[in-house]
Amino acid sequence: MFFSFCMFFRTSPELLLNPVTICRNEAEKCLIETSINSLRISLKVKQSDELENILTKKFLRFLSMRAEAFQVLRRKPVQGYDISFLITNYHCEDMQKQKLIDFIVQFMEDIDKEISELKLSVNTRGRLVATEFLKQFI
Amino acid sequence: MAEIVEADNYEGIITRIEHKSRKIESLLKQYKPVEALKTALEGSPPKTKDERCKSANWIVVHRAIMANKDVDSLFSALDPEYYDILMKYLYRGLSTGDRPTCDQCLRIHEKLTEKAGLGCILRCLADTVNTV
Amino acid sequence: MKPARKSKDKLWASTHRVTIWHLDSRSRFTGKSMAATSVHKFAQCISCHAWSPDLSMIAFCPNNSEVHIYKLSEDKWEKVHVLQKHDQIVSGIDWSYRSNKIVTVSHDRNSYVWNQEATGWVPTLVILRLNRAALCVQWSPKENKFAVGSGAKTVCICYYEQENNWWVSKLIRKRHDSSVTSIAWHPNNVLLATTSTDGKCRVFSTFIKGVDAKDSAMGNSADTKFGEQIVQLDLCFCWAFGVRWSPSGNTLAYVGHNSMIYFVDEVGPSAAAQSVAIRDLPLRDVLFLSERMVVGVGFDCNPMVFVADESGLWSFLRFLDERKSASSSAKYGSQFSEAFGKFYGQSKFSASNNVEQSRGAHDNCINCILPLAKQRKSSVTRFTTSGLDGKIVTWDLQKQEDLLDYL
Repeated sequence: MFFSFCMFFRTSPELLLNPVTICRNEAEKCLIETSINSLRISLKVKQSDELENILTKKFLRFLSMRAEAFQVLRRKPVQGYDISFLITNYHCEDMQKQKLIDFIVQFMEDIDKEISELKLSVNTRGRLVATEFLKQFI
Repeated sequence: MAEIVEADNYEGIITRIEHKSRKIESLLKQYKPVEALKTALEGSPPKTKDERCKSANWIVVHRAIMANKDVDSLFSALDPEYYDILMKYLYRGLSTGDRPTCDQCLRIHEKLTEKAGLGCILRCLADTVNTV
Repeated sequence: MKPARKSKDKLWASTHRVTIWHLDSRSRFTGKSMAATSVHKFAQCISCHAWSPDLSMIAFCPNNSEVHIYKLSEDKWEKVHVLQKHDQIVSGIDWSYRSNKIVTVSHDRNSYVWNQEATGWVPTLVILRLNRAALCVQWSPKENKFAVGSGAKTVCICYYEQENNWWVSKLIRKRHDSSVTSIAWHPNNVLLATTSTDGKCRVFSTFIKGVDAKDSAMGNSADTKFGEQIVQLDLCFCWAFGVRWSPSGNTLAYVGHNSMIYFVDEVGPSAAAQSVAIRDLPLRDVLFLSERMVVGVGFDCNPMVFVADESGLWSFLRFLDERKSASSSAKYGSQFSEAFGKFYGQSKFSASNNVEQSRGAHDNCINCILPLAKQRKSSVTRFTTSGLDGKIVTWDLQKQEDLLDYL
């Protein structure tokens, strides 16, 4: 279905609006692409080190695998981004606009917090494991 | 509106932008950042499809945007007719990924949305002809 | 604020548009009584609706291939008929005032004219010869023709052929560069205004020999050929949606997705246009309540009133409904919490879904507005709106004192 969408917009470019990129900096950005009956929002989440990179990848992959439960989530993010949402006219007919917006905004607000919490718990566990391991040498 | 730029037209636009740039510098020296921004936004976007002209104009507008540190006094002096075009340049600024630019554009964007409403954002997203 | 210019600009000079801003603080609901007199949720989502000539029945499409007809009996809406013939979403319904015929168009590229007979509503297929979805339909004022706008970049003008007992369609081709989103008949039964997603608003002649008789009421448009383009309005750089003529046919209004509404006087070679920038989300449809008052509906879920002053300058007056409080305390939907919960093996995210119920009559995009009158009148005080929230809301301006001057 998405393929047919792509073909459709190739022949009718007037049905697309200007895409918008909003960056906080190079590492954190958001791409919004609008068409006459759909909207694609892609996020790039801050990843300051390798651990955060792995955690983000795993976490967002986990969510993408369950895309059907979220309805608006796409299985595959847009190139260069970590996660993509696709909102179509069907979603707008089924759900209230304000709730859809709140969902996306809340998601963006929480994702950073989630990643840093995950990072903390991984670090704590790492420290514990290291302590346990080193105990034998005492 | 969507006329294709010719060689002499390109030169003309660039000369005009350079002239504008000098005027802005002198306004900034006189501590008139709002006047500088108005000057920068006038005649924008250049009526051309040439990306070089658009970039040249963006550099000038960017200079003026960054000079306006006091956002509140900016909006007490900026007339509504500049709102739509300023919004377009703010989105250009936000897409650069440069931290100070993004921070400044976000600050102005917040105030501008408060002033001009969501309609202003829509006019910026929807105008696919006069892009900045 | 820039003073509104008194002189109207020529159409072609679209760079010198008259733009009247209403960027001052939000106009709040000022009327003492609510303008919405009844709100009824008929379905999950409504794509379009139409009233019967005597206003006792309503036909609407619940966003599927059916058309439901409800009748008001003893203050309760009762489903009386379901019209099933289309295969896909019905995108347009119009119920003729005088002949009591319903015309429906659908994404399945077909159109039916429904006649009420003893056995119920009997459909007649209209061959539109479209290769894309039909998007909108409207009976002409004399009801001897109807127009269908389509995604095939064409407009079909359909008329009845007595000898064949058949509705025939004549196409206006190769004039639009994109889908035709809305159509509006001029009261003279000949001129047709269209809006399309290429951003243009166009006016065509639909004079059909043998169907339209030349009479003085048509003025100059009687000399035009079928399909002749009278004017093309190049004001909007984005998708244009609803279009409507004023009751006299002197003014044309249409809306763009760029949060603008355009008013055009004296449509023709010396047309004068005004653009009004809207502070809020864009409109989808418009309706003239009188020569001087227009109601626009759209993504803001709240009808906006525009009025013209004595000199003919249009401006935004106010919202009709009470302003909604923004719901900011929203939390994740239950599905999201569930997934998070699974991930953590605990219910970390409680399924709180305490979104404030908005107080407005509509809580999703409004896409259809119709006058509530038994015949075409020069001014109406009642109208209905329907939208993606599945509600049909009746509005009455009788008690809105500040608006009555403009009727």
